[in-house]
Amino acid sequence: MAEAVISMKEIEKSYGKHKVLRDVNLEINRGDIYGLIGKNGAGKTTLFKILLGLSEYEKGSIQLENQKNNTAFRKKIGFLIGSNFFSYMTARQNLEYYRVLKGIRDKKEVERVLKIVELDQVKSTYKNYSMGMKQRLGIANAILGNPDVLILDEPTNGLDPQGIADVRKLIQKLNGDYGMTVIVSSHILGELQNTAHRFGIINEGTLVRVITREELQKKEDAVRITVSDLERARKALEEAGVEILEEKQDANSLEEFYFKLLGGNEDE
Amino acid sequence: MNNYIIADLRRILIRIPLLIAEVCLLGFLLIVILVTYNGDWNSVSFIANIRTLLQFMVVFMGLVMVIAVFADDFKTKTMQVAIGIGISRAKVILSKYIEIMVLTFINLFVMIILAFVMGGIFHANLIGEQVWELLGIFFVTWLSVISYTGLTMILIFYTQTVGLSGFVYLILSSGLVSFGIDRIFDIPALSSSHINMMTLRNVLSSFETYLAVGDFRLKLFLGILVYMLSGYLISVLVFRNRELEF
Repeated sequence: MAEAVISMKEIEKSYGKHKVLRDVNLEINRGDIYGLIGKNGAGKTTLFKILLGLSEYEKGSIQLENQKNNTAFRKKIGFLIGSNFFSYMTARQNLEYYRVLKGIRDKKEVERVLKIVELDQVKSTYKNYSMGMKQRLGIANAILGNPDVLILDEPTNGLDPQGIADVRKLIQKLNGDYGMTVIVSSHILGELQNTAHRFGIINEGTLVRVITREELQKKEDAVRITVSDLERARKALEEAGVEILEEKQDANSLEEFYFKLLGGNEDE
Repeated sequence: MNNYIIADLRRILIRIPLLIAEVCLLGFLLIVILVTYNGDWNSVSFIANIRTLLQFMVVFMGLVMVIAVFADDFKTKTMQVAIGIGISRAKVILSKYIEIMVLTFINLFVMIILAFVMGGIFHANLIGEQVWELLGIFFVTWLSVISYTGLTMILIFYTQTVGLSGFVYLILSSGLVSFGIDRIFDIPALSSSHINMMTLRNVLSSFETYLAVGDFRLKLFLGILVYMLSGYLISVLVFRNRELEF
């Protein structure tokens, strides 16, 4: 059974009278790439803020790596939420600032992460960076110190298709080669489908459904013809002159599944 | 917490606008000394000029410190990162307060050196007690900046912006608040209570007056520390449950 590194139970949070999180139960297993999906205002960022201790919650509990002291484990979490860099400093200077802040002694760590995100040759200051470069720097900062868990809030925001593909490959590399558990939120469902192993769908503060990629492959409402004998059925179609052009396992796309679950459609 | 302070100080000390502001403050000190030198200086008039000048410095230097330490942080939201990696909010505030203390000390240390050099060049001829008096003036200036900043931090952490807080620092450090309170306590019904003597400005002024004659008044010093501690503790209270945005 997979080990849970993050376990949130019955989390509730309100801003005044407006409830933003209701009875959220979330479990992230070690080695997961967990995709958190929801529209704007669904509660994704609030959930991340609570995980990082930036926001209080009224009810529920959070356990990080089954430890009693969540503060100690927070040091093992790297995160990308918004843009936290000084415009007058270069990528190297910004990361050097965070290296010192995070108490990372190894001075080569900055070069290491810059190489991973391919910003090691960039000399200009942050204010001159493209969106893609800014997001990559954000990821570099998140992986500084080789954290166990990575939280990425909309890492593909504002990126072009190439940028989105680069981030996807980076996430997969960090998970596969470096063993990081990744929680990533995104609006781009098609892209998330190619990246994550499990998907949590959050709507109006409630975690509506959790589904794995394997479960997603099986389309629930596809029309299937059930036959008693597949080989005879194939032969019968051939004899009737019906050519079987393609035979494949029917599958959902994440986008189809999401809209089926919550209503609305991709054309809205 | 130490890492946060070191990272911030390293970042702030290379900031060109801050370096320009520091040079301007030093230049101002130099110009005032040069302008007031009339060829007939003595040590007493030299110390009097420095004292007057440093009263202005409390206002301008403090404002520069507040902007240098807090402005970029709120823009880039690096405090959120510090909290996210496990530094408590109370320690974040304490870190900022320590940064103000260190940067103000560095500024004043350079000014002390400059003051003594200029005093030597212009034959101020300071004797032993007067050297201590001059150092005492710088010490009280340091206390003034950090205690006014301590009170301003309450608004800084409540609003998480610097603009309005900078204005409040100006009002506090310029003596306007103290002036207003003194006028209120001129009213005969209130004048016997001497509560106005407990304003920060009056406590600092009294402390400096006694220090100038070699008398370290512990009660007055503790009064200043109470203001500093109050500023810090109230800041912790107001910041404790504030929602932090990204």
